[in-house]
Amino acid sequence: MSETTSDQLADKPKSTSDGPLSYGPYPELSKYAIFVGYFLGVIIAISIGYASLKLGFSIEGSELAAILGFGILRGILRRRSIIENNVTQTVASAVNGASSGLMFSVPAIFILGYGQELNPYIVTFGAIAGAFLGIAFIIPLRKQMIDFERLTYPGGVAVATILKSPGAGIEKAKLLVGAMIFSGVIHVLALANGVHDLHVGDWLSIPEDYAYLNLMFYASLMTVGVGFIAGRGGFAFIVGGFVCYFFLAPMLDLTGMLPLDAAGNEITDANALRLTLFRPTGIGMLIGGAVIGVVFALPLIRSAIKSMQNSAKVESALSRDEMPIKLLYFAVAGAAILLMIMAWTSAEQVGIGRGIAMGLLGTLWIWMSGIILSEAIGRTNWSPLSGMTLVAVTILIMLTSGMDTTGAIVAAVTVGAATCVAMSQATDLMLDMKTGYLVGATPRMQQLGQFAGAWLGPIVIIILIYVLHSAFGLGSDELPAPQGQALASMVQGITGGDVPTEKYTAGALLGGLLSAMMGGLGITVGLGFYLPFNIVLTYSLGTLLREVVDRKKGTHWSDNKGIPIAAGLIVGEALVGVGYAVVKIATAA
Amino acid sequence: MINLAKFIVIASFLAGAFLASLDEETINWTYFIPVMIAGVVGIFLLKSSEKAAAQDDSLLASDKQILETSLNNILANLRDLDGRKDKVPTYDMRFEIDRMFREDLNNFADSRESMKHLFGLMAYADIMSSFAAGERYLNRVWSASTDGYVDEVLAYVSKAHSQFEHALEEWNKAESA
Repeated sequence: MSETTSDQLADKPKSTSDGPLSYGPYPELSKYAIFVGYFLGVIIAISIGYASLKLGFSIEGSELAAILGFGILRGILRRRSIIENNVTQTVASAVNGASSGLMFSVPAIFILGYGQELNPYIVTFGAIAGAFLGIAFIIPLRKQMIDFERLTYPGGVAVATILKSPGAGIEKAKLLVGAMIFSGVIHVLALANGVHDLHVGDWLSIPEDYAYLNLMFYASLMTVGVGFIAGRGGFAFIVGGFVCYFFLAPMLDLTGMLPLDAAGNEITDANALRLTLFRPTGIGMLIGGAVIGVVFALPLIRSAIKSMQNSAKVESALSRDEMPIKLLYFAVAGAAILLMIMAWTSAEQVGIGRGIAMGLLGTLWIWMSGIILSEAIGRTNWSPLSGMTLVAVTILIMLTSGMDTTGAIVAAVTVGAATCVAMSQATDLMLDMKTGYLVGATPRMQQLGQFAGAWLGPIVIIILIYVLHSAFGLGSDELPAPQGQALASMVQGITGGDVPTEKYTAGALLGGLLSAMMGGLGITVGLGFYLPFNIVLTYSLGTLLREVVDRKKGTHWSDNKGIPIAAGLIVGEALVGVGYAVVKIATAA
Repeated sequence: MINLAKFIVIASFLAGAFLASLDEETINWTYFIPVMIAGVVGIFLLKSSEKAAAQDDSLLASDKQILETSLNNILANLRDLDGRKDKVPTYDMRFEIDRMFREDLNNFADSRESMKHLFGLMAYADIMSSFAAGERYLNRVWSASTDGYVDEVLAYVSKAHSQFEHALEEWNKAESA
């Protein structure tokens, strides 16, 4: 870009009737972007981290970071740059990425009573390394999934809609804000009245014997918005849910094969059927779908890498926009070595041989799960992070056979936490990259922003975990850490030999079959098996709305009015969700 | 044949899912494996039929026409915009982007899969890399226009122009190979 001297500047207009004019570089990875990102990231990570320990749910931080960053950068600091705003939300969500990654895994060790055995420095260092590796692994995936496959990433589209609102025209801004307020108010009313689901089955007086039909809609306009933005891309996800509760469960009922409870009665409750029958198959489908997906996508991934290498050789503009592909090779080697060292030092009995095996498997799993999660969130906006962590910990515990239980669990969860943070960072960055694509950000700047934020999150979260544990005790009534409890009970099951390996294997074959039929199909249908049906039902309303609107009013209407409205529905509910968590915690305190 | 193959795969998936749901821990592999083998046969039939359909001359010719037309339209509009960019008010540039490019960008993206069959994966990757970068540069012009950054708007109109010229070079290279 040509440099503008001060003399030249003096002759140039400073503003027009439309607004002020600026000359010179367009701010992107600036100190304002980084420090506002740190500030927001720490606040969001602590709030959401604490909320997940207290309430058991985690909230995606990107929308919140985009809105708050928007307010600070544009409202207080009077800065005008959509792409700088984008880096701020990238940094903030990178800091927060550690929260979902660590809050699911580390508390399990404390709940199991092995807190004394855990080395906080190794966990923190491992989580930071895992975060960096997750970011590096995304380099070729970004090209494949965003540039080539053009996956939707509904959450990324929502954030881009927020960032672009100053230029999208007053009408779009009104639609966005109007939908935000509407969704926020509805969510406040739902929370105030304790409405979590709409029991349509009860209204229709469907008999208890058919409870598995589960005609219960998750009361969430955010979910409708996500379904709308995903459009047909999320259709397979819906199919997965309907197969479980409208085909498999009735078939089991008809053939008298429904499972029985302790009293010998047929289990018809949809959630019980999900947890015992469908979810393990769903986890297997996610894995099998990903493995076959990788096999089929490998030529394209290889082409993506080769294309990046060719661009780098001629030093094209394109290559200057990207992080160097060499970083990926260092990341793969670095991942393996770091995870080996972590595993080796986490418990005395691990030894070098087992450490190497754990490191290699951990690295492979970061790559594989990065693909699963990126596909899942790209097509549906749902990320099966907990399921992927569970599989990682299961594999790692299996490698520790022969060790005493304490050492095995500490080693597996320590390495598992690093892989979990890597997965979380990879998914978060893919969402941010989609936003970046839509606002014209430079991928390299975003990746640097993610690196800049990723180291801070694990430090904040590990300190938070230790402080809260010493104050209240993780797993206590005061701080139940439901996700950690779930993992702890699963770990106890695994160490007791209670792993549904056969169901995982069958699921993997089924997922593989679907992904061989159509790329990503095994993962999205598997996600429908994995998640509660009430979410699928509400999501399907969004998909249906999009289909009707596209047909009746045209895709132009959907793009220009439907998507701002859908984005508003997502953001309004997310903001109220965070506010609710804060109020609930303050009230409890 | 495609429909029959799809039916076999879907039927074997549903049968397999049913068999996988009969017990909380175990699977009856005696039934499950043959069902999966039927599914694999279905996949084999599907892939060979799809490959034949995707390489169908009329579909490829129609998609190629769309791809060529939209790429040429984008380039013609970019040459025009690059030539008069100084005269377009900075804050109006985003409206020009939406008006002149969005439809052709979407048309090109919607037909992109045919490039794999027309030119092979490597050429597809090279063309799509350039196309995606060009589209991203146009999105950046949109953002900079919203924020009133004069130099950035001018610079990135030119960058988008040269990126799409590069996409056309890659297209021509693939076509002549």
